[in-house]
Amino acid sequence: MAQKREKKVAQKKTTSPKTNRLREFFASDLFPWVARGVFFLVAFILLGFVYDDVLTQYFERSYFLYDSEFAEEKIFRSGGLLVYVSLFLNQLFAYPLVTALFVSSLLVFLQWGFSRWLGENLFVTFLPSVLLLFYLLDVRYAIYWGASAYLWTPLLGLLFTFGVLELLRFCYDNCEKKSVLWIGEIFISALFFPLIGFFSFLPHIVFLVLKRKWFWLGLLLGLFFFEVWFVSDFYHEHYLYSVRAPFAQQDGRLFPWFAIVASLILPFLVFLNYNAKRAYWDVFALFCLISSLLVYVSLPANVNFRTDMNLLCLTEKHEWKKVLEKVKRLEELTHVQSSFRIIALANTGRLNSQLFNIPLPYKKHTEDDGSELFVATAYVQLYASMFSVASQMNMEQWTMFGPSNAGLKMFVLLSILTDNDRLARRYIGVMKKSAGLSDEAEKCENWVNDKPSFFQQRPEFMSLKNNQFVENLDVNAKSHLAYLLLSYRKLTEENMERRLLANLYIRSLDGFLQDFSMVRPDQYPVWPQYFQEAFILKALATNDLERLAKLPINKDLIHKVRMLVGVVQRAGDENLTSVARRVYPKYRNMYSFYYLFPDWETLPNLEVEKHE
Amino acid sequence: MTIQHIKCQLILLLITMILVSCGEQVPTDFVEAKDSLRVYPDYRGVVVPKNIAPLNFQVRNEGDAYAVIVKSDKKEVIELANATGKIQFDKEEWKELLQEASSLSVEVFVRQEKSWRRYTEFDISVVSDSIDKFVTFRLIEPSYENSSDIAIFQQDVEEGKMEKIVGNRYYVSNPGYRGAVCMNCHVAQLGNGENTAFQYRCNGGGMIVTYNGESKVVATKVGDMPSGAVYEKWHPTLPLIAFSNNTVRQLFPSNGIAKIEVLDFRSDLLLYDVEKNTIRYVLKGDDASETYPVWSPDGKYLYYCSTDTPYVVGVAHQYEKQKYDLMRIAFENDTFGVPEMVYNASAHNHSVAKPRISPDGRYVAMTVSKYGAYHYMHRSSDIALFDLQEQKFRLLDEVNSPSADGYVTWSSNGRWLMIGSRRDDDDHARLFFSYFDENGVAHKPFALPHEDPLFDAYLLKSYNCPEFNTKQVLFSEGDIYKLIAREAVVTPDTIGNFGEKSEADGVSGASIVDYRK
Repeated sequence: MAQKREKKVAQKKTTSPKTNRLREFFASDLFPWVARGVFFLVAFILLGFVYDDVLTQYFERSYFLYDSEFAEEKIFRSGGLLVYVSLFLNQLFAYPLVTALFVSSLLVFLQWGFSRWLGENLFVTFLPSVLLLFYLLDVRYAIYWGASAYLWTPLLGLLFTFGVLELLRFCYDNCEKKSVLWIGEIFISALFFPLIGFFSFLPHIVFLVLKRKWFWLGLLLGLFFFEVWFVSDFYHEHYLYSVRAPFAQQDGRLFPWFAIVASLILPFLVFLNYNAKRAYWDVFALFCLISSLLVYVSLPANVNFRTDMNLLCLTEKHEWKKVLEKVKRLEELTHVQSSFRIIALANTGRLNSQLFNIPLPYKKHTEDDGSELFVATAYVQLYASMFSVASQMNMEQWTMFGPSNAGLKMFVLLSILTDNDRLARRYIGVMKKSAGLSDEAEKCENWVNDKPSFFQQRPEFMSLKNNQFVENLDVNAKSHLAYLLLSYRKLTEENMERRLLANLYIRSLDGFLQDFSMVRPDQYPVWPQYFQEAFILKALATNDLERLAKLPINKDLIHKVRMLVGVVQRAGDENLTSVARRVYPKYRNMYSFYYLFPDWETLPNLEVEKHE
Repeated sequence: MTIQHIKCQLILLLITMILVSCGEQVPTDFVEAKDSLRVYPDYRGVVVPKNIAPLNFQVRNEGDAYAVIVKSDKKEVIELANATGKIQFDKEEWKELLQEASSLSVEVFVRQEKSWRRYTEFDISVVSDSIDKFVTFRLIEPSYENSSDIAIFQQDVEEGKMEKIVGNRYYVSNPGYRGAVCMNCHVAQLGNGENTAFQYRCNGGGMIVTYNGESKVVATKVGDMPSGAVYEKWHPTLPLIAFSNNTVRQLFPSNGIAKIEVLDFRSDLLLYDVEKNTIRYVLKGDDASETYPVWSPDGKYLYYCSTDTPYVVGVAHQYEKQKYDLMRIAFENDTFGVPEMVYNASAHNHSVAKPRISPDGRYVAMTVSKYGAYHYMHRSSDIALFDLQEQKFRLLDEVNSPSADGYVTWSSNGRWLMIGSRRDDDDHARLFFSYFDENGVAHKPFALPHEDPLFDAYLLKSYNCPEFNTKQVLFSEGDIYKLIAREAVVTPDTIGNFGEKSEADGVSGASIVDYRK
């Protein structure tokens, strides 16, 4: 290989009188290693420093038990062994830097393996490594599409392929009777197919193509389809599942993106005199490939999912200020992000000053994918003190996306909060068998055995426990928030304020005034703006503005509310939506805006400024 | 004697010594334990049949080694365990032990820090009334709306072996797959266990009926029916399957043990004639909802539960007003009579569900709770017995627990009750057997034995829709998939007024109204 390269360099030297040092560098043996080094660094930095939080979440969404039944269930299906090993390797994600180092090394090793068989064509040889990096950086793929079991399978499969190819080369060089080798290949392919699926055939197909043994290749392909039929019947799987194993069903959702990338790059290679300027094109193609990867992970949908994930992590850690800071930087919120915002507001005592400062309208992740709701709903319900629904939603996630470390921990937490020690112990028993949670299990066991110390360490959960409702309420989307919030088991100051806000949320000024009469006079040295506005709105409705003079209400605020009400009254037949659009920049942080424009949730796109 | 010979003998002696030292040894030097014995599952003081599989258990008292002696009048079995405390008996030894026994005494020793403690022995009574060899059940995650990897299993109660009958792997063969492929309620004909039926809900699915060795998929949603078959029961002798079609609704309570409330919007009773391939209404109407049909062993009555309180949307806690009574309707010469009240549960301010008639026709075992027909998550749910001869109702306190006891059924000889109960942790249902003696008294229930005593402890699924079977299920999982893949669904002819085709639900099966959307 090196000799060929030297020959080419020599040829180029003779054809071109000018010495192009850059071209020499590209054509030298050093360049592939530099490219590998750069790729290693890019992958390592991306995984270990930029996506470290995502990798941690991959660990949280993974699940692996040291248990014969678990192993049996995973291994005995097409490609099952690779899925099983992949599930085990997912536990590595608990240590993002180690994973980054490990994965980056493997990806470089993979490229090196390809270069041994396909020559020093950098684009082609780097392509699989870059695409595999796609899998790891795509939050949707692993978490929201529930394909985390397949994160490692292509990588493992390709490594296996190279191992077998090297073995085949060795056997080919040392075997006199080649037909024995071909028969052996067919036998080995068939033998490994039930465990590693498609990858059991891949090295043999490649080798037979390289050796141009078309008859044996035909025989091998025929056997592949026969074995797919046989194995799918044996494992009671769908035929198509056995064909594609061990790739995830969700891979199909990435193909359009791959196709776009390929169609952008291939014309360069085909039409633009690739061979003449090979090194340049290699670098250019690689640049395109990595750029496309970065563009892909920066797509709004991916960023949204990642933001959700971040907010979820911060909520789990109870880092409320960071949640609010993160939300503050967003121009629009999804329902999930809004929920995390409200939880953070409630935990920082800002509910009464910022609840209605919501940027409009809510945005959607995608039109057809509601999976983000399922990932987050259990947390939202937990922080709303609705433990049964949280448990139900956690189970929903468990059944939809498969068991996970996060799910198991949530079950234990909810069992502790509902005083169901026996149930907590069942889950802890399973945790002890888990590859990644055995230490956590010990901690949880101590919590169950000593609940006072648990609540001492995590006082926020005692607060959630105290905020449960007076009775079992039927919780669903049609249940008004107010209906729920008006039913607290204990009426603390905190709950009282939530009740008041709930009244405002359903635009019940009378309910608000009635509840406000129960507020201790010294609870609010200065009345929150929303409360003042409620009094003003009521006074305007009953034409009793004199009453306001006796109350601690800001006069400028009275003026501002009157102005807004006046705008609405003067609007006459004008569409309220267009009025809302017009006044939104000036009145957007006021309860009055929310109150006077009941359809605010469905308002069309408004020019949204960054909210506070 | 050569040196070689001596060497051989020495080696043999050494091997023998090793074997002896590894053999089963009962501690002779011990003290009496002060704490009480903790075993899982709890087999202390239970009554078991002679044909039960080994009652393997785990000793949960802290220790690093365990020894258990089980004695009958004629035989003694010793089992040792390491620090896991798992006691697993040899099947053959266990069978021999039970063969002649009327009672077993179990003595447990626990070693901690090189000293042994002995616990007060406990007894297990053995009766000659055998239990049906097979039980079928579904394993499913508790309180869920979506289905994941669910399957119907069959367990050989004599051998303790469990095998899958049919699952949904064909459709959910990808761990990331998100679809709803549900199956439930595997039931066999009382007189001929080879005739079976169960629901498989997916494209090409329906009620899978196996009759005289042949299986077919039946679309049970025809005409104006809002849904297909949900709860079905074979007539004991005729090729008839009575079933209810239920429009099910789910509610989500905010707090408390029950994570889900299930109720019927509407339900009616129908009859499917397997040979003639016809469907007809048994009871139809908007004034009452009927569910859980079950035949009397002589086939002369169809029992069911009924309520005349409809569910009204939007009224808080309205579902708690739905109380079901036990009713029956006579069946003779292929004709149904007039409904009659058997037990007026609502008059006693409770609600009954899932009735099962004892094989001698004397008792109705059922679940009773404060309201509704889906008691499986109600902590107030208990097993009750109605004596048809004496016309007396009583709670079966011998078997009830503070948790939800939400399912009961009879063995073919009427001597064993199988109970589905959440007594382990209030969340996951487990199966228990209780001996029902000739005096009508039930005995302390014992858990379904497994080869691994901790199988149920780590299982994060519930046992659901269990039934006894005298015969092994004959069809294989592959047979069912092929049957469904053919999409050759048989649509029965309707008899009587079925009105216009309903638009309510496109797929055969219970229509779940997801009103969270």
